[in-house]
Amino acid sequence: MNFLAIRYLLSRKRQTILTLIGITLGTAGYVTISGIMLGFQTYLLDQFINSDCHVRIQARDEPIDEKFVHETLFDENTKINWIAPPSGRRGEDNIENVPAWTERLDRDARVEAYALQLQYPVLTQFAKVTTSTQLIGMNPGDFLRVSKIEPYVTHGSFQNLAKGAYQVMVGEDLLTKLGARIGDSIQLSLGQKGSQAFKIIGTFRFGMRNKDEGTVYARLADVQTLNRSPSKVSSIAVRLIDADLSLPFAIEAAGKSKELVQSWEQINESTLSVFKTQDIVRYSMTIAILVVAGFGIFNVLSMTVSQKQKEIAILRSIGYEPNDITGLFLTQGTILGFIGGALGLLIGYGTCVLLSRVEVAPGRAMGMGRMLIDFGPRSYFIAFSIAFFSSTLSSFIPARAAGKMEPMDIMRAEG
Amino acid sequence: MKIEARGIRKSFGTPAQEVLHGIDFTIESGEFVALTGKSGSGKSTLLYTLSTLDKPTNGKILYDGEDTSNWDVKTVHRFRNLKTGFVFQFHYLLPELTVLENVLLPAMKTHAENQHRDRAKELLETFGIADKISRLPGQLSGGEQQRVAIARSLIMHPKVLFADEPTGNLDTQNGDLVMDLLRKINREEKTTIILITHDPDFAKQAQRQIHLVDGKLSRAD
Repeated sequence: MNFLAIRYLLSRKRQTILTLIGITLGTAGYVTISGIMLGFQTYLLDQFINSDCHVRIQARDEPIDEKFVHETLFDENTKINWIAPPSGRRGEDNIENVPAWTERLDRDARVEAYALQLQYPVLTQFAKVTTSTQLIGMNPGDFLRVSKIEPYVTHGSFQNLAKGAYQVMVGEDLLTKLGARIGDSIQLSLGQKGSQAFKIIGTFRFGMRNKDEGTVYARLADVQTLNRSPSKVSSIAVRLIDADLSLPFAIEAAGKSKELVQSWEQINESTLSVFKTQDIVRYSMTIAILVVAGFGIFNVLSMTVSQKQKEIAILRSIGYEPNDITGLFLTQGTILGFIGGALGLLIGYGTCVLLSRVEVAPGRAMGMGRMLIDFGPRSYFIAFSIAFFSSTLSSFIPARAAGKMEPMDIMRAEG
Repeated sequence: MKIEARGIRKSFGTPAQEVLHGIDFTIESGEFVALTGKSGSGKSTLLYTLSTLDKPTNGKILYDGEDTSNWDVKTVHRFRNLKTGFVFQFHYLLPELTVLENVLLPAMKTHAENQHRDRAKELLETFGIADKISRLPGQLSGGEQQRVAIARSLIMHPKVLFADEPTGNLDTQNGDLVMDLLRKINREEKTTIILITHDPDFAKQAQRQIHLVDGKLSRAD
C-alpha cells in the first residue's frame, strides 16, 4: 500500500507540505536548541571534569561550639558550666592525616591518580598593580594526571614548574591585568607570613574569567615554604578511572572520614541544576512544536479518511483487508514523519554549522570565542525518533478508524 | 462457481426492519442472472449479501457447497480478491491512479501486478480504451470510466461478477456497450454474472431473471 499512500500524499500537495513544514521545524528546532545548550553544557562539564578533579577531599569547615569543645576535651559524663560558651571557627583548614588518605587512595582500584594541594588566597603584585588571587600549590606530575589541563595551556608547560623553585603558571587575564609578561617575576604575599617573588613561566586560558584572572599555580613545596608549613595539605584532588563513579565514591569516602569529600557533581550542584532546567525547556519546546505538527497530521488524515470513504469501500470490495486500509493511512503518517524528521535533521545540522561560526566572545574559551555547538549523534537520534513516533502516533487514530469502516456502511451512507 | 442462497433474511435498524424475507435460489456456474425489482425491493441488499460484502441476519450463502459464514476475515478477503469482481453504478475509480493502475489495483493486493499487466492491457484494448491507459479517471467520460471499472473487476479472472446497475448512470450508447461487454465476458470467460438493472431490455439479455417484490422472491425465470 506504500505506492497508494505516496499517491494520496502527492494528491494533496498543500496539506502535505504544510504538515512537513511543521514536523521539519520541530525536528530542526530540537537539533538546534540541543546543539546550543549541549554545546554549552559539554564545555562546562569538560571544565568540571577535566580542568579540575573528579573528587575533592578537603578539611571540613567546622564551627567551634560547646558541643565540639565538650567532645574534643572532655568525656561525656563531665558536666561543664560555661561562663561564656565557646564560639568561632577552626583557624586551620588542613587535612589532618594525609598519609592515611594517600594509603587508602593507593589501594583503591577506582582511583587513577591523586594530587596533594595547598591552596591560599594571596596578594599578587607586579610593579604598582596588586590583586587578590588563589595560589594553588601542587606537584606538577600528579596534578597533570588528575587534571587534563594541557589543552587550556596557552604558553609554556605545567611540567616546567617542577624544573625550578618559585615559578608560576598564571591565567592570561591575570597577566593582562598585572601588565606583566612571561619571564617577569611577580610578588606573592601572605601578609604577616611574608612574601616571595615567583617567575611567570607560562599561561593558561579556561575561558572563565574568574579562573583566568584569579588563579596562580605553583609547586607544592614552594607554596608550603611561603606559608611556613612544610607538610601542610589543604585538599587532595582525585581522578577516577570512571568519572561516572565520582558521586558514589565521594559518598562512600565521606562516610568513612571526618573530611569533606565532594564529587564534581556536588561541587557544581547549582550549575548542574541549571542544566536540568535547560533540558526541561529544550524538551518542552520541541514537544510543543511536535504536538502541533501531530495535530496537523491527525486533522489532515481524519479529513482524508472522511473524503476517501468511497475508495475505502472499493478497496475492501476487491479484497483489501481492514489491516491494509489501516496500513494505507498509517503509512502516510510514517512517511511524513520520516521525511519531515530527515529534513529537520538536515536543516538543524545546517543551522548548527552556521551558529558554530558565530563569534560571541572573540579570543575567549575553548571554541576560540565562537559559539560552542554540540554535534553529538544523540540529539539527532532523539529528534528523529520524536518526529517519527509522534507522526506515527497521530496518524494511528484516523488510520484505525479507516480500517474499521465496513464497505456496506459506506455504500449505504453514500446512498 | 455454484451459488446457493438458503433462507436469506436481512434486517436493519432498531427496531429491526426486515428487508429480505427468507430468500432461496441457486445460480449455476457460468449463468448470467438479472436481479430485478422496484427501488426498495431489496435487490442491492441481496446482491451485497450474496457477494459477502454484507452478512445475512439469518440464512446461508453457499459457494460450491461451502458456507461463507464459516469463513474468517482473511478467507473472505482472499475470496473477494481472487474469485469475485464488482461493478458499481458510480464507477468508484481511485482518482489518484491512472487507468492502468486502477485496473491493476486488485492484483496489487498480492503484489502480482506485473503478472497481470498484459491482461490489463488486453482488457483495455478489448474495451476500446487502450489509448487512455495513462490518463487519470478525471480525464475520462462516464462511459469510459465504467469500462475501466469493468476491466478492474475482471483482472483477476473472477468466477463471479457482481454488477450493481452498471448502466444506470450511462447514456443509451454506453449502456449498450457495457451490456455487450458483460455478455461477452459471460460467453467467452464463463464468468457467472449477477446484474442488477431497472432496464427491462437489459434484463431480457440475461439468461434468467430473479425478480424481487418487497424483499420476497416473486419470480425466478
